[in-house]
Amino acid sequence: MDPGLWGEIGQASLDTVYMIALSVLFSVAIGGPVGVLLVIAGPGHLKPMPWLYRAMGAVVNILRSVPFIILLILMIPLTRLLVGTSIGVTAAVPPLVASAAPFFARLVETALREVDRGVIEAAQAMGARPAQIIWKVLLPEARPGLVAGITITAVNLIGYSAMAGAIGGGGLGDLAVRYGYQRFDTGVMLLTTALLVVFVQLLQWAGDRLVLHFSRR
Amino acid sequence: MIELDGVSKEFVVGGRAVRVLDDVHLSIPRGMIYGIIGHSGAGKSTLVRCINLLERPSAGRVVVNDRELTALDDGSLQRERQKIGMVFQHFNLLSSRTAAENVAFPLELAGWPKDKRRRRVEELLRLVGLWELRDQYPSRLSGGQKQRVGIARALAPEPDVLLCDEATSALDPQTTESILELLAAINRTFHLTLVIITHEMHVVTSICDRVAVLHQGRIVEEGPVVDLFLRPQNPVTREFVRQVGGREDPPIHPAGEMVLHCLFVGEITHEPILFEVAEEAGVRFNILQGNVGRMKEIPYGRLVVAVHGSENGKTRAVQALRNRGVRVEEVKAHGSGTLG
Ligand SMILES: Nc1ncnc2c1ncn2[C@@H]1O[C@H](COP(=O)(O)OP(=O)(O)O)[C@@H](O)[C@H]1O
Ligand SMILES: [Mg+2]
Repeated sequence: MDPGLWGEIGQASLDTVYMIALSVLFSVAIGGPVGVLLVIAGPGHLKPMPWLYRAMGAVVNILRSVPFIILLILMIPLTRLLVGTSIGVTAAVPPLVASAAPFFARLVETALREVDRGVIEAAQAMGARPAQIIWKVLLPEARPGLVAGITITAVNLIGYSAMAGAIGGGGLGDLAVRYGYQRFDTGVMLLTTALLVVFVQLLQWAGDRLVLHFSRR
Repeated sequence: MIELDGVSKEFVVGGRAVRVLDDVHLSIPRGMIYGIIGHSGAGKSTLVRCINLLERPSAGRVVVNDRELTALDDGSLQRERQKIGMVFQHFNLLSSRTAAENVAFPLELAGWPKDKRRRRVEELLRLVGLWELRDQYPSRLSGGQKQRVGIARALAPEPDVLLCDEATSALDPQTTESILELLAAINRTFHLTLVIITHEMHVVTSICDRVAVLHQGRIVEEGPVVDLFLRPQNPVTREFVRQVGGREDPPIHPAGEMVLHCLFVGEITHEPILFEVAEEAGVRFNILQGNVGRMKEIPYGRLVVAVHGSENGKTRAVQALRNRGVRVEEVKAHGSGTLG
């Protein structure tokens, strides 16, 4: 392989890392609070808000049922509005977030529902305000589940980022498609795929270590 | 001082209102250990949760330390709750926090400064005998140790009232004993009002001053523990008293023989009463069954004896026992009845 190609692979790897990092960040920042609301606004919980609960549940379900490839296309106008362009690595982030945030919200919801009701009640009996219960009880108690949720979301995002990249985004997925699919360069295709596999393995390993660390307690 | 004034609670289950508490009146003086006993499903947990308003009563008033909790908004209620500690059957500790961090938790909620918090946590962990285990997570502690953390946590913000909902029901008998001792010691030392919810009579007799019997959401009997123990009126109370041997099935004995069930309460437990009465009435006693126990500080003994002697002597013996303050009942061969 020519040296220029190595540079391209390096750049594509960095692009992928950038896309994943940014998407994970926004997915957690948006999906996290939505997940918390899906729990506490539910019936019989901290702050039952039936209307908000149902509306949010519906939005999450709709976003999760739209196939990613359709989401990519539907999101183009919004992406232009947000980042000024619909192509490039940064432009891949909004559709990735639109797909991963609702998924992460459901994972957060599941993790928080696992928290023992007795513990929440104990905090209420001690006079904890709802915000204190969220920050000092729900989130810390659900930490292993939340970390596992972030790991799963990030791993999923690697797969989706390859797809987003393929549609004029950039990153390793884009490279694999351009060389492997369009130029029949199987070597590059295998190499980029191998790199993606390594990314996934690393992420999963790190996530599992963290989960173990938090659940040893 | 805790006052429940006509407290009722209804839950709506499947569109139907189910009345779980029915017009409960309670008055618990400051510094007392007050028991609430009842079978599973009687409404005990609902009742105790109505005291700190974890459950809002459908009707009635709740007053704790001259503050009418039922009239407060959420914010003021949250402040008042810091003065009402609660201990749970399943401990309800935060699994992500060490023993010390669990005890510090209510102090963080109340906004205590860090060094004050640390001193208070040390004080309490030493009090409950867990200072050495301060850095352990709950998963590493035994049931009894977890409950000690639970008690330390409840005491941390210096409450006036401690509500214990089946605090010993998940523990083995020996651990139960040590936790009850700890609770009694806390009551003596800090003059805290304790509300003890339980379905076990021995918990009531070992530490409570007064007790209320809850049955199907109603208080069917209430009074000093000794009184209920000696003169249970309601069938439910009788059943609970039987649990601690206040009254058991009579031992098998020949028909025609006089068998007495004698209950000694207080100082007379230590006196040689049977011996004296035997001399005085010219009868002999044959002990068939017996046990001794303690109601908080008050000792009691229960003896089932057969009486041998003349008819006249037997009558005098019964009278002599009663004169000395022994509660005497004749046990009939088939079933039992009371002498005149
Ligand atoms: N939140 C609730 N919704 C519906 N029914 C309830 C609720 N809490 C308690 N109950 C019912 O109230 C009754 C009394 O429950 P509880 O107070 O827990 O009794 P105890 O503590 O004496 O065992 C039970 O029949 C229970 O099913
Ligand atoms: Mg209960």
